[in-house]
Amino acid sequence: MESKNLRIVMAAGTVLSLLAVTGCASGGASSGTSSEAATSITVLDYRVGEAESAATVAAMDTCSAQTGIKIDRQATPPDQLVTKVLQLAATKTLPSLLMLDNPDMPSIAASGVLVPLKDVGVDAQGFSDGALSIGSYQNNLYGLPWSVNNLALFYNKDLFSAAGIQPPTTWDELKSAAATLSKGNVKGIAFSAAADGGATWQFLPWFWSNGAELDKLNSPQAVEALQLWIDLVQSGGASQSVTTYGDGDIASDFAAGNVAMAETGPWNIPTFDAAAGLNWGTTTIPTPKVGDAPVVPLGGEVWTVPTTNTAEQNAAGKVLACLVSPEVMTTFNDTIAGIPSLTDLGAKVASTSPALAPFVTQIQTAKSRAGLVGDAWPTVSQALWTAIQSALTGQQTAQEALDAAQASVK
Amino acid sequence: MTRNPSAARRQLIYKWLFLLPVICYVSMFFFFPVLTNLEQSFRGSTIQTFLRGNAPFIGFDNYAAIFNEPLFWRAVANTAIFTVVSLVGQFVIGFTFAVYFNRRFALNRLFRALLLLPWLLPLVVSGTIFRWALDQDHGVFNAILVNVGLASEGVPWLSDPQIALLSVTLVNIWVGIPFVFVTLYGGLQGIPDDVIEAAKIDGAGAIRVFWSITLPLLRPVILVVQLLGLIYTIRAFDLIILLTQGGPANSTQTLATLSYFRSFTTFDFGQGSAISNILIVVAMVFALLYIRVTNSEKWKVSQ
Repeated sequence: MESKNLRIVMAAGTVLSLLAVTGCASGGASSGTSSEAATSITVLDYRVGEAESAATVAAMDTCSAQTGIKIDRQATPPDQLVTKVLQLAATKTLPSLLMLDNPDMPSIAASGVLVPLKDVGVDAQGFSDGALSIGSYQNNLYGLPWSVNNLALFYNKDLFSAAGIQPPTTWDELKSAAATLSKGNVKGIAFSAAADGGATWQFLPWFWSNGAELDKLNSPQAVEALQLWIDLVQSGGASQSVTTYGDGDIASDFAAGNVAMAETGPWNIPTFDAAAGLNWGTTTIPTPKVGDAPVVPLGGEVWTVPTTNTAEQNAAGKVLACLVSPEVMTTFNDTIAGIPSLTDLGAKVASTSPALAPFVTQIQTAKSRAGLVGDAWPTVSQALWTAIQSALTGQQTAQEALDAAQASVK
Repeated sequence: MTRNPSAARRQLIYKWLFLLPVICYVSMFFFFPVLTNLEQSFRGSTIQTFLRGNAPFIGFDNYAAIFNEPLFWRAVANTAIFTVVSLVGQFVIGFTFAVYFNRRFALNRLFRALLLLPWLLPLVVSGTIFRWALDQDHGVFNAILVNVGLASEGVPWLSDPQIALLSVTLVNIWVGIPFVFVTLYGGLQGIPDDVIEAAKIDGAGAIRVFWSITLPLLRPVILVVQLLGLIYTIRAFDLIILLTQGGPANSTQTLATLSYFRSFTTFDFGQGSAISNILIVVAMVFALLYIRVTNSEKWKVSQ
């Protein structure tokens, strides 16, 4: 009797799920000619903060008016986006237009649920090489960023002039500046070495600027870069708490005048502007030797077009082209203190905002995090932050930690 | 007396109709996820195979892989330490409070209510506040320690791998005290006064009464508290994520956090499922034990 009832329940469930599957399948089958475009699309992004969400909605409104396509926008917190995308893909309900954090894009593209942008008529003229590299996977352009960013050094001008020193340009200058400026409650420099991707993101500027590459995590250059962080912590120039610091902690410490230097990005500029009595400037990431160019990871989200049906993909392509057009891009980046990904607009921002200039300079040599390792990025990133934590807490030497990291990704 | 066969049938149908919601609920929200999780642990899942739905069947490879990994055993040890120390700490402090408040005195009610505060706070709030309070350079704990002269410099509560697990456990003890306190207090209130008075008349002192009367009568409640506490604690996740994210250098990685990171950071759903299955089995053993205890002992004593 019990099994019979159970069977009825299961049968009902099966029928329902079959209905759902056929419903989706028929939706997918209704693809028309290649130029046909749907009149409404769905969008999923992760700009959930109040100001950035409003800026995103404003951009959507502009593009909806421009293209005549109705846009239904949804947003999810950044840390839940990939999980959400997997869920949507598994149930064949991906949105027409999808925002992805750039290092996650290759993992999604590798499974074949994204459409190359050339297939939906999106033109990538005028974008910086860096912008194109974070949108590309295996020689295909799958995404275009409308805003890019990276990491530079923010410094407290008052603390520097009180100590009578200049912002550092080399690693040696950085170490001595950090040591000089650490006094009482004030630490020299804050960076993030927490147990998440934030640590990898923050470590890469030092790792790459010293010539290390992500396919060999235990190279001598990589060990030297990690040793720099170890030295900064051991000399007291940086707090031992960096292993628990997130970007928010760095920003609040810097805004409160508790650290003289902070490795962070342009998104914190509004916070620092609003901090009373804080007199700050920005400079490029110090390099191993004088005259080296800093190599930083390129941050920013890319707009991608998931595989839906031709009409929907074409409409999504039109909206995407509008979102990355000069006017929309300028308005959006002005609101969120981001850097436009079009080379011309980036240069214009650099000339009008001195604080952003170092970031724009660094874009010329910036690299995509997943560029070399592709869909292995999540594993590589985790191996690297684990090594950073082991080394900074004295569990292992820099060499041992990075040897273990390299072994764990092979 | 012979019963009307159609009435008997109707009764049987009613019986099953009443059971149907439970069967539906348990299948949808319990059997289905657990079985899917079990199946997934035998497959090699990555983002790509997840999206394509063609994850290959690889038998016990996921289990073999995690058993061969030192990190897994470290997580097992961390989980065990975290759970045992939490339970002992919560019990000792919670029980002390319960005995203390089991007498009448001024402001008893007010302080009992205040002791419940940690329970009323969302864990996200208490976790975030403790992360600030335990900060090495600007945390209030270190400020007090240094100013009072108990420490010469700030203790790296959450940033030293040797200390972090202890710090996380201490916070968890704080979070768990109200539950133990309230349940044991209720148990103490349930002990009839006449039994204790009788013992006193027979000449038992306070300590003797406690060991020979109070404690044995409270035994079933203690067992239930500890078993429930164990099931809650062994799967503790949110507090650790909030305080250390399993770091520094995996020193606070437990089975629950490791399973989460496997599944949702490196997207190895197979290994993530395998770890969580192990956790489920362990928790299930104690859950069954709990059911046995509540079915037998508790009622035997209270009746």
